[in-house]
Amino acid sequence: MADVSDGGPPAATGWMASRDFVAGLALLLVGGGALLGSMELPVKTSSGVGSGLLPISLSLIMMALGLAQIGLSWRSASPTLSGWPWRGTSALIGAIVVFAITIRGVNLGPLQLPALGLVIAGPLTVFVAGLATTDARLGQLGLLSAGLSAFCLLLFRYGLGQPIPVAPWLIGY
Amino acid sequence: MGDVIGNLGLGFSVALTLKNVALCFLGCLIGTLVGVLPGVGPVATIAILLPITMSLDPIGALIMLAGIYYGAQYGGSTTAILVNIPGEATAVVTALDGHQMARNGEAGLALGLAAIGSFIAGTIATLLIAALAAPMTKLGLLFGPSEYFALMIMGLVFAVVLARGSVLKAVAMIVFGVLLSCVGTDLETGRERLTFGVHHLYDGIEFVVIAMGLFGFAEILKNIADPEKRDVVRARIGRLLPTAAEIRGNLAPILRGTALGSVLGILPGNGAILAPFASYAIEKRVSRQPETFGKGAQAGVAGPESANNAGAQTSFIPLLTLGLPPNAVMALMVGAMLIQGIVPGPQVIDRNPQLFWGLIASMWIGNVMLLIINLPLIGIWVRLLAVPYRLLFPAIVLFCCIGVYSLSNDATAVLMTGLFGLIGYALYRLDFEPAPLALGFVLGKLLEEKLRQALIISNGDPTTFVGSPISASLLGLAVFALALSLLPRVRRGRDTAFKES
Repeated sequence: MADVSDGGPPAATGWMASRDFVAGLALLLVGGGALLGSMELPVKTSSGVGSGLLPISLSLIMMALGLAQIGLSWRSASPTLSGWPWRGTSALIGAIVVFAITIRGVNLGPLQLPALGLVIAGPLTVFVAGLATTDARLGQLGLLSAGLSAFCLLLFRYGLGQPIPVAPWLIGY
Repeated sequence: MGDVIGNLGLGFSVALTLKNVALCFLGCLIGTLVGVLPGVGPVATIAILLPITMSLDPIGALIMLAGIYYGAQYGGSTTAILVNIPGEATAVVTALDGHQMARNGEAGLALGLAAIGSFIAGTIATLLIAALAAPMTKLGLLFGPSEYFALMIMGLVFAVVLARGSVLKAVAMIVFGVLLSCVGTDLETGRERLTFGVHHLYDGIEFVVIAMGLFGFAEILKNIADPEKRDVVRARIGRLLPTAAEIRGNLAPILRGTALGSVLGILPGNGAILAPFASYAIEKRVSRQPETFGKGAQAGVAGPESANNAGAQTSFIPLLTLGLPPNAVMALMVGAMLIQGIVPGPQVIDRNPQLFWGLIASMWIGNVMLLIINLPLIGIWVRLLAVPYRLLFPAIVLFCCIGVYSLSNDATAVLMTGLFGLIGYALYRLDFEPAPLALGFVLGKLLEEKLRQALIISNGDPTTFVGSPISASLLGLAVFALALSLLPRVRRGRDTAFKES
């Protein structure tokens, strides 16, 4: 079922919290956003279809579908959405962000990080991701992160020859 | 007929080189290995493993991917039978009687029948593909831009009609997918579209980023938030090979399933998904003991599994001959072909005959591999099923991160994949299916290109799409199918078609 999560009270109640109402609202928002991002494009050019025709018409269709979905949701009895699984989503996204910023480092104004390579990024990613479940065991996760990183290092860098940074701060690549 | 044999000969001469056989073997093996993991369906398996084929030559990469696909399919059936977790919609039917057989101590027999049925189905489907490839390609070459446009619209409409759940939501996902394909610089006019000034979006969004986000990361979030109940069979596996009498008894279901799957798989739009359901319904109807269905009927495993495999294979036909992927797996194959610099379409058969026929020949080799890998290795797969999910998903996360990073050595792509993971999970919570989105995204560029070409040829006259008899009838068929699916009576029938009888 779509409505099981690890807790948190529903943000709103009744129709406004029903799955299909939120679904319609989401379509409306995505359509509206896409319209904002494409409405300045020309629909027609001298030689034919302009770059705006497809995105603008699809945005409008999307918004119409959103409105229709909201209308339908009034009568359909779709289940109420329950809370968002914060632990799972934040651990997973955290792991992905950790990988992205450590593998080659970042240089974004106040945020400075040297390239740490797969030797560091790998275990960190596995460890943070592993925290997503409530039944995580730290010792097991530590072993897993080391083993998996070694395996991936051998497979991708040496087996498949991908130019993925290994440990630039130690061995220069 | 002579042509077919000659072409298959060329194909086998390519596919039977030591390297390509090894790649096919490796693909089947890794595909089964990943596909057997609970919660990892064929689409996720291919998305996760796509990057490891990038360093190969195009023929090798596609052969390996096809192997991964068959392996993942078969792995999915194994999980369905042993754990009662269907990795994807088409394995739902297998789980019904297959899992019951397993509980009766006949797990081995269920797996054996599935493998033999799949092999027979695969062999017939391969011959069918070889026979239909050339005429279908000729048909494709007759198609002008407006016919192509109409065909794509029809395929997308069929995908909507055949998807489960709300028609409106499926249409919205296709529209969303096409919108996402618009992101980036418009090649025709050089204008930036939907980039919101973010320069990482100027080149558009990579398909692998979307696929791994929607089918890899989102799937993990789904499984963590909502753990599936595992019902691993404790009973013994039992003998694998059916007796001669059992094979004779199941030959008719296998052949019926193959016929159904082959026909439904060729349809543009995901027809293959219906095949196992239809086969199960037919077997139950013609059976002399319909009461055994749901309690471990052999025909209830052999028929749908054959239908499934035949459909999986013939769904390559629209991709290879027309360049139109009928489902999410084939959309991934398009992504793989584009990475290798091959634009799928009717021109491939002439420009890359070795790749084309090599791939077809490797399909049959893949089916042989499945038979010889899977049956002896069942014991290993069973032990893999016991690995807890908390150890599996961190491995998948790291694999996806490294895979996406190596696509273009770009850490931003990894972040973007994470974002699509969140989007995919939100869509799941709101009861949207990701498969139509993937299809819309892959077809989006081609759709716009054909629209433009058609309107240039007709001097901007939009009636060109109903002017040609071919495109008019394709569009008519699409409208008809859509209207039909909205009728209350058909809607009810459509809903029950996806439910176990």
